[in-house]
Amino acid sequence: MKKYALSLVLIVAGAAMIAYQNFFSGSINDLEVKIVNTPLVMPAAYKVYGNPEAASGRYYLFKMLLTNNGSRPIKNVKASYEIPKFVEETELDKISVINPGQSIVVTCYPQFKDDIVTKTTSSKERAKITIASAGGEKEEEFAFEIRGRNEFVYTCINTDEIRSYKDMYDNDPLTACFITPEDPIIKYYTQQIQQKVLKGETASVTNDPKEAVRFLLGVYQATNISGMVYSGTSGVPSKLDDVQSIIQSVRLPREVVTGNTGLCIELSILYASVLMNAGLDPIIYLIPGHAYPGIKFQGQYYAIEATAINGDGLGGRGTAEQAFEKGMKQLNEFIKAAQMGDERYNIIDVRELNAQQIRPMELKDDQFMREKVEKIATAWESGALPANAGGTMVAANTAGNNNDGGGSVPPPNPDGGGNSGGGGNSNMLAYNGVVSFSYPRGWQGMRSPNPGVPQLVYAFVSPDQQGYLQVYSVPGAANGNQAMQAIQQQLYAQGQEVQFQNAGSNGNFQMFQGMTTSDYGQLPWQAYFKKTGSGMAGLVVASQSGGHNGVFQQVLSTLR
Amino acid sequence: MCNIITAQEIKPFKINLEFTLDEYGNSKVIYSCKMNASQWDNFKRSTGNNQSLLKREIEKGLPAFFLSDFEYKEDAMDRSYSLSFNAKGVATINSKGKWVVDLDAKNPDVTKLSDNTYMMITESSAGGQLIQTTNKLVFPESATDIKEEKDSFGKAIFTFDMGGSSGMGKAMQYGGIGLIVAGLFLGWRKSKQA
Repeated sequence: MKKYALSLVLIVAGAAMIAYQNFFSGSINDLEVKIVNTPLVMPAAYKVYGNPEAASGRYYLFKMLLTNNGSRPIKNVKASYEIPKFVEETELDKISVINPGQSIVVTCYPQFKDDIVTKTTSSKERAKITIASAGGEKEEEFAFEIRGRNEFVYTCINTDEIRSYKDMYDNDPLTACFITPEDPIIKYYTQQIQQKVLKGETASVTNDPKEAVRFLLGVYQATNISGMVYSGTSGVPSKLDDVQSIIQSVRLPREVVTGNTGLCIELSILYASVLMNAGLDPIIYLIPGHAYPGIKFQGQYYAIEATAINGDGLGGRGTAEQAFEKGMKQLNEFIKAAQMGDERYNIIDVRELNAQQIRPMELKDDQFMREKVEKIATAWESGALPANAGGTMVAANTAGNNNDGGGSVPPPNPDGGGNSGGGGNSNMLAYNGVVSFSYPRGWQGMRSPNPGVPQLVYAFVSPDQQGYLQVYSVPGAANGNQAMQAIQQQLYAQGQEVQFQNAGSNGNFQMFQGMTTSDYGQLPWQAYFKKTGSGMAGLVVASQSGGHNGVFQQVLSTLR
Repeated sequence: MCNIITAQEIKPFKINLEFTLDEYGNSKVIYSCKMNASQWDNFKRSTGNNQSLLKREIEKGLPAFFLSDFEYKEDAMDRSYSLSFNAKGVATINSKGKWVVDLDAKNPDVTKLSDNTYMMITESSAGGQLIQTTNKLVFPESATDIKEEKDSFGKAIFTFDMGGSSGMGKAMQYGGIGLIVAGLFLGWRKSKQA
């Protein structure tokens, strides 16, 4: 037996080496941990932080890189975290093995409870992270702030990284978390408006813009006759870790209603909540130092100046009609600024943000607040809105072909040119941009529909999709021929061949006739170009079916 | 929609995204695109000489990874640029010991280019612009049994096998086997001598 001792020792040693390598986990101390965390959490956005799908997962609490720097696999790694008082110990991930040299990323989307929205003041909190494996356990932690539920921090971008106005307002999409259409108090408030101010409404179930505008006026009327006043809240620059931002205290819609006062952004949020609850498509227009609400209805945008309620201490109150007129005028200015590429002019499209999973906070019913709404609403009976209020206002703001007039306007787009407003008669709307003309109501407009042809700034298409109006702007072109050649060249790159010939002139306009050939067949067209300050601009009309001649004559008779 | 002079053909903005995985599950990523003249003008206007903005956008867009070693290369004459970086933690090992890469897409159209290279084209729109992204995924040479499967949420994943031990680990493994073989051989010789 003695003579086999050495061979036995070798076999046992070999087996031990294999077993050590394969069955025993590496030490947890070989695991390098690197953590990147957000400096703060806004309670209003707790549903966003907890959802990896929201805004493509960019609002995580922290992410952690675990790298195995040892020579053996680390097995059965469990990562968990805890935020004392807010989130109990929760398992984040279970990793069966981390091989030597391998890195794993664990991202934390914290599941805060609904009662986080009762937190009214800011506090410094710690997140505790535990990483356990068969080879031991280690703990990490970091500090961050949980702000009060009313606080909105405009940006979380590191101060050194801030470059533009947009960066300073990087958290704007989270405004949607303050818009609470499902809040029982807001639901009740909306019902009261529908009953007592509007005496019934069909805005969300008809295709009539007059009804939608009447609803908008109704919300204003409700705030106005309940004596709501404009008032400020604090907005102070604060420094949080490496982030410096203005922190705005934003009263929730239910607080604006029951407190009967609000700042521009708070009133806009209240309007958006009510409009959303009524099934409309709310928009908040953000401009430097101000915000105002509105709606998007059948592709057209409408706005109202919610702060026209002012208050007696601020020079008196505007009527709903005046507020709407002012809102539409501001909207026209908004469109012009956005078209010039001013990034400070921005919109919050609430439904679009909701679709990105940016969802509002959960709020509970409150008897006291409900009674308060009831008390406020008793005054509304005397100030019910006339049934034709919306019609009057839509007519007033779509009639008359002038640049300052209101009217339904298309979506803002910094790349596009022009805006459409009131037409010369009720069947026509006006387009005012590099050229001006009236186009039939019902034709759909679209800014810069073909990014490959930057000269094409606006296009309209008939309801049967056969008739087209297109607006071109060709900077640098000295005459119509040069403009046509520039467009011809651009389209050639897209596989489309344009042939054209000069067809004389009419007033300031040079006329062209031509044909475009592509995979889609041949399309005859007529073009009208005039000189502008920076080059040439023009209108092209065409019909796939060869029809629409009557319409084109009407359009061309108004071309300026 | 409409095109008059322009019978409609919308040309998408094309982006190439190439992930080259290493044996640790990390990846070298190359993001590149070529633009037409007006797109290049817009790009230069929006980023200027501040390419760190691209880094920030990429970091925002890929929150599931740790990104490092960014490198920007531009060819202004060709109106193109590329941004390369390392992404850690792209592939993980599941409870069955298989390596997993999450494609973060449902029912993608994946094409096999070679034994270790796969491609899929995705389309999205941003700011009214149609964006076409060509995603190329290159697996390590040692990857075997590469399969496209679905995770529990119905999203597409790639699973594959790959040797995972380090040099030291392999030395221990082979050393152990060597000792056992040597012990057996020695025992066999002794028994012969007897």
